[in-house]
Amino acid sequence: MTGTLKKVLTHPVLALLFRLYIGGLFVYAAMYKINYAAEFSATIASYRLVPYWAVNALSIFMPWTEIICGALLILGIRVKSAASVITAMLAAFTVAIAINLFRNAPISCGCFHTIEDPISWWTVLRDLSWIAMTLHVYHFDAIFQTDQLFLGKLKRIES
Amino acid sequence: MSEPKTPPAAPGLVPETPAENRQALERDRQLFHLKTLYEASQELSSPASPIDLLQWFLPMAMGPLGLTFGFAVLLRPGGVHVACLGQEEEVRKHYERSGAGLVRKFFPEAGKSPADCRPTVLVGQHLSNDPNLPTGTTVAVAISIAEDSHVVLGFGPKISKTPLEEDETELLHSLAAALAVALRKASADEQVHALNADLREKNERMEQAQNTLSRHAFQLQTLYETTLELSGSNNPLTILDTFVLTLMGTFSYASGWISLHGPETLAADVVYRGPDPDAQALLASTLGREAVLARFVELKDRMPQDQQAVLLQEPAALAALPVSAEVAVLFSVDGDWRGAIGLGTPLADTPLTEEMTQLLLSLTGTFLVTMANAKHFNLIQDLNSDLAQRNAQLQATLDDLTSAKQEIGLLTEAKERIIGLVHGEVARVWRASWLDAGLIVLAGIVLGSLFNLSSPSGIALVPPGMFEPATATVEAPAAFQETRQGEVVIIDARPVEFFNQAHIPNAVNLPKDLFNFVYAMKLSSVAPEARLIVYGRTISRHYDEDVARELRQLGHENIVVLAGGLSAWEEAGYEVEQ
Repeated sequence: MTGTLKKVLTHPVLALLFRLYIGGLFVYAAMYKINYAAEFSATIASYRLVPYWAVNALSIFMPWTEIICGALLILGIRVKSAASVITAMLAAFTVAIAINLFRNAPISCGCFHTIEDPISWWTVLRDLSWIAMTLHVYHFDAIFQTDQLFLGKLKRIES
Repeated sequence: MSEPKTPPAAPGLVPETPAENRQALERDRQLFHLKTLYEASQELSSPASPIDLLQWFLPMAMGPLGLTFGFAVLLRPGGVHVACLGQEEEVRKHYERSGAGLVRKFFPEAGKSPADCRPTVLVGQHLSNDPNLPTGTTVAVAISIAEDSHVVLGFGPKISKTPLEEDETELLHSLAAALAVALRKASADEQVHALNADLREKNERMEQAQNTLSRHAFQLQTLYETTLELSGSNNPLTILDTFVLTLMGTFSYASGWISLHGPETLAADVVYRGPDPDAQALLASTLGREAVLARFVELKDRMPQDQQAVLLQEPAALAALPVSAEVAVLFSVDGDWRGAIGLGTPLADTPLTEEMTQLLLSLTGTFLVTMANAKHFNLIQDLNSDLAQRNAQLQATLDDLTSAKQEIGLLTEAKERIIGLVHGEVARVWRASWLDAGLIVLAGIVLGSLFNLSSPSGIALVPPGMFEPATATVEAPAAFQETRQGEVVIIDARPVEFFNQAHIPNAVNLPKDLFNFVYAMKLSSVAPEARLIVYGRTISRHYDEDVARELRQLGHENIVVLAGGLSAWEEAGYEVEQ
């Protein structure tokens, strides 16, 4: 049972599903942020963690980083690196949310839209689950990677 | 011989004379003796053999002294010689047999050099009784010529039967002394003659030896010169030509040839020197080859082996050679090469002597050694040439290999680099990479910047308020006093969620996003000179400065920012509306 569960939990197909999910999630989230940079900068500012001078820059660069990582995950290119960056961003988001929860700040997440429900511990849990999925992708993703199409041949040259 | 002198009258026949006559007679006797001695000396001084001297001496001594007989026995290494006068033949023969014994009686120590050269003269009747001497002997003379040559003379009594007088004895002594001297001289002459003869003979022998030596020297000189000439070249044909000319010159022949045939049919070295223009072609032809090799077969067990030569002597074999030859030698070089040397038309009629034949074979031996060396040299030269060619090929191969090795090295290095690159790339793909992460972030920055610049809804990379002059501030206590006096409007610039959570009592929430709407609703009636205190600043955004800037644009001039915002207000202990 445990073995089967472990096999299921570590199966590459599950990793592929997580990969596509996280990738799609980040692409979707970034689409809005890219188009509404001013609103997104207000969201970042509402967290009261980023210095005044860096808020606008972060609101410009972060969505593009998210969309690139999401696209790389979907396409299966440099999966581990993309997953690592996404994990780092999710970890930062989670920490930021947790801090504001402790501050009792009346802010929304701002993950997908400007107007959302206020952050809660569920938000933290959601982000943690996304982190877990990303780590699963990092460790067990092995199929349908574009890298394999090109680098498989290079691997044969190497051998 | 001197002219015969008139002999003086015998002493016994002289008549007695008076005293002066006796003295004169005595002088005559002395004169006679001196003349006799002179004549004997003259006679004996003539060159003659000891035998002849003895034969001459006997009458010389007997005549003046009037002796009846005389004999002489000469003993010397050549044998015993006897001379007799007035004796029978029997006596001669007797002394020829036993004369040596008589002499040894007088000279018992034979072989000893005489201490006294003077002759010994014995005179007396007692000698007649000596059994070794003839009967009637009255005088015996012993003369030693040399250590191995002695003479014994004996004389009979005087005709007058009277004994020898003193002067006669003296005469005899003198005569004996003269004889001794003459004998020694004759013996010395004989020795000189013998030595001369011996010397002549030795000279002749030496001359013969010198001739032999000259011949040998000539042969050795020929051998040396031939060796020298032959060793000067390594070309077989040159060696053959040189050797033929040497043989023709050494042995005086008008023509000569050498044909040397190898194991292959066409391999032949041929040289001919002589008048026949077709001889060389004939020697090199198959017929010539067969004719020469057939002579080897005929020799059977005498066939010359490696580096050997055999003189061809049978006339039939000589006639069967391809080119006529008076003298021919068959030889073998290195076992595989066989050939013949022929010398024809001799310039002298004399045939080759044994020595010349030996010289011919010796020269041929030298020729064979030189020829073998030349063959070996040529073989070594061919091998060296072949080796040099192979070395060149090997060098070319080595160069190719070196070039290929360098190329392989470069290719291997390139391959290793490519593999390393591929390995790095592959490894990088399958693991998280700082480089990839950096590239992703960099791409995000670049794309975000470009998009923000090109987008109509783009925002400033840095908040514009950072470069605006700061609004004057008021401390919380002062602000509190102003609120107590009611002369001031407090504006909360934060978002509505924060305002709802906590704010200063009577504060108007005027977030920048809803500025126009809220201002129109709540603050449009406020006079431009009215005192406005704005607060609301966080680490991430200066809400108060933004709203103050907007208010100034609408004409409000008396605007201040509450230093420290709501936190300073709370910390100062003033009331906050939740």
